[in-house]
Amino acid sequence: MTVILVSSDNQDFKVDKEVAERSILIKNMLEDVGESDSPIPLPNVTSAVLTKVIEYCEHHRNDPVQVPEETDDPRKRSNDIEEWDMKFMQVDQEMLFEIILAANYLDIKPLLDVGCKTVANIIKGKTPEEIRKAFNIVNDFTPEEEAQIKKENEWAEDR
Amino acid sequence: MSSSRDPPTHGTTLWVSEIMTHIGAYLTPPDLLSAVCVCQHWNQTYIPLLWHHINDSLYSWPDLALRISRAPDPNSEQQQREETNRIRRMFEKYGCHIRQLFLSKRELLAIVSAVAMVAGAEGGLSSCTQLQDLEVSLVNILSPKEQAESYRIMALTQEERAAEREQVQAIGMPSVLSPVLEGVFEARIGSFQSVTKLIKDWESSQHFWLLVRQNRQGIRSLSMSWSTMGSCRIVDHNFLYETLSGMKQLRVLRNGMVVLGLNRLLRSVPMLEKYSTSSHLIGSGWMVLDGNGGGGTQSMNLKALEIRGPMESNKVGELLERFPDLDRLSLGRLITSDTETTVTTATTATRAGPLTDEGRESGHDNTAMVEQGRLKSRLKVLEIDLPRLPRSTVNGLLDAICLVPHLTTLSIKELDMETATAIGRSCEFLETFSLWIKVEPNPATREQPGTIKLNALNVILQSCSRLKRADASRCMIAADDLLDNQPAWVCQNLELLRCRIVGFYYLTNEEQDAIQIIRGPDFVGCEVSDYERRVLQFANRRQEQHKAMYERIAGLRRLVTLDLASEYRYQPFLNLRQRIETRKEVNALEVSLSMGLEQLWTLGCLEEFGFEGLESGVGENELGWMVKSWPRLKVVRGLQGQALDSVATRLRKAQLRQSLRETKASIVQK
Repeated sequence: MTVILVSSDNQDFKVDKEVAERSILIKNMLEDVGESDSPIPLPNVTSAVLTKVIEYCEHHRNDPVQVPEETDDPRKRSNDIEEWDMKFMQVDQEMLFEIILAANYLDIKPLLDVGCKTVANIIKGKTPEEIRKAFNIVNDFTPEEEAQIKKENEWAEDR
Repeated sequence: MSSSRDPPTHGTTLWVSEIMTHIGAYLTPPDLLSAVCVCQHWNQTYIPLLWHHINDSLYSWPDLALRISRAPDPNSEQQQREETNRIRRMFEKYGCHIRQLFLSKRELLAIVSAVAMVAGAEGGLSSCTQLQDLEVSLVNILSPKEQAESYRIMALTQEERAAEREQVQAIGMPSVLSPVLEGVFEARIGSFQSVTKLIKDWESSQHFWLLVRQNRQGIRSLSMSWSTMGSCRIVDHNFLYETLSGMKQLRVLRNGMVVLGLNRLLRSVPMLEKYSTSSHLIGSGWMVLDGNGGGGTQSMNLKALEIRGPMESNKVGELLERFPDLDRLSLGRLITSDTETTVTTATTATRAGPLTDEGRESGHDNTAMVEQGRLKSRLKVLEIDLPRLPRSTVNGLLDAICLVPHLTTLSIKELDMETATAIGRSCEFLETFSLWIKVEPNPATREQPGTIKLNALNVILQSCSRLKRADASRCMIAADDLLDNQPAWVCQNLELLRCRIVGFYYLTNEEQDAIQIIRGPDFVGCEVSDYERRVLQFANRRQEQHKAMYERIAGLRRLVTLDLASEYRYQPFLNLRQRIETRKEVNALEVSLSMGLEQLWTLGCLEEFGFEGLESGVGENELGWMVKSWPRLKVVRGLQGQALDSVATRLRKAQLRQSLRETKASIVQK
């Protein structure tokens, strides 16, 4: 069984129901509507991004459903990205961000995770200035403010 | 790249707090430190994450703590005060974000506690009062002054020390930090202790309890350590129960500090789910230490109970009856009851087990409960950390096992045939079985490999049909117990098997050469000597044993991890010669295609294979075969050194390469 997804720029994408249901948003929509051939509009996702998202869902169509880990530590590891996912995420920054936002909107947790891990890996090991450069962020701190923040949180420095 | 240009649109859309927080979960404090310096927006999002979890043993905390604990000379005392105030201001400013706090430094405990005691601005919450998880386990850092003081005391005579102690007791302790602590603690100076240390303990215990009380609204998990009390102790237990009962969110309590009556504790904290105590539960009044006679409290909420101290074996039943909803029970040590007559064996009474020598009556023993069907335990996990067992304790353990029909996980330290048989008979739902150490009779000699009886684990594999994990890498199974005429393994769902299979017939190099000759083409028609006949017989038996073993394992088609362990992994101190000797004694298996490894083609799910042999590691041909036959294979342990180079290139998985490389170093090559 297939479903039709419509991107924000009005392109139709015919995909297997099983693939589309990797998105919890779509899964819930399909459950609410019941048996229906009507296309599903996704006004927040462009066709370029939707193509990527579908590619991901196709590849992971048979993955078991993620069980949330029971751990006290809120911090997670980001060095466990699968090889295929790593390649999949080798896109320009704009596309990377679009994929993350789409994953968030469509509620595809594993894709959101892998996207956020990729961004986290960009941040890792960088100085504040390097981070600003990497993401084109304007520094709105005075040098004194920045120095104070650094001093107040110096405990977090690696020894 | 110019900053005057408008940032691209995605720049503003991605950095919504929700997604930023998600990204932040993958960052460690050093990276979060950079992140909070990036810009105001990032600062606001990441400061709560950075301060969420504070552990003063990590990152630069130890350095910071040193700066305020050590004053090498009087001039630096001023500096130390300034530094203390600065750290205090940090906690005042950011302490509202802390949810999990793990402290080991006295000075930091004092600061955090003091901050928590100060009323929040405009009636708001004080800083450091929104903790959910608190653990204080103090480590002593002595200043040079204290060090000198402790040396001085050690040099005193006994009389001098006693005189000093009296002096101290006469002066008394400083007044308490808060009226609520009046009369709660008592400080007792030890014979080798300095007054400074005593006063430190006096203050630390108060800081700890004040911090707990300031956080009583939110704490979910609390760890109480004796180190926070030092030479102080709580004399007013009402204070303790009153404090705990005020903690409405408390679910997890680790108690290494005081003896608490379980009954009263559970009345004070009825929602408690996990309780762990290092103190023991002995004596007839063990459940009612707080003097409350009559029936004990039944708790529906307590799911996990850990008692590290000794516990009487015949109390297990009572415990399970008290807490029918208990999922997990961990016992440090089972001991024989005070009255020897209460040691009974449920196996004898109800299941006609092998224990027929003892079977006694008592008022509140496990047998009676089983017989009367009173016990309705739903316990799933049982862990017992037993040292070498006296006979009566084994019986107690067997009792306990019979009491928990729903057990899915059992972790014990030792295993013998009797225990194994009882487990096999009683635990039909068992899925995970782990064994910490071995029980091994003397290994067999080369001439009589069949005489060793090491089949305790074998019995488990023969009886527990739902078993998924058998984690007993130090436990040995005798090869002869796997021959065709022995009962089959019923655990068809087994996913993990760690054990050692030993007792194979062993051939010396000389004998191997003889076999080559006997089986060679030139030998046809020659007369076989007694020696040769004997060697041939050995070789055939060896082959048979291997065939039977591989067949047995081949039936476990769901195996993900197969670790046939090592002959010497647990004897790293042996030199090569000794290892060779050990090997001869233990008669380990051979992982080779010529011995029938190919039968294991059925293990399509296998991801991890381990075997560290001495003379017969995993050779190149074998490894090649494994890679071809087990498509999911990720980790191989125990390669022969020379097998490595040619194979590594064929396996692209970085994980496997790394594991191969790691392995290489640990392999002893001939």
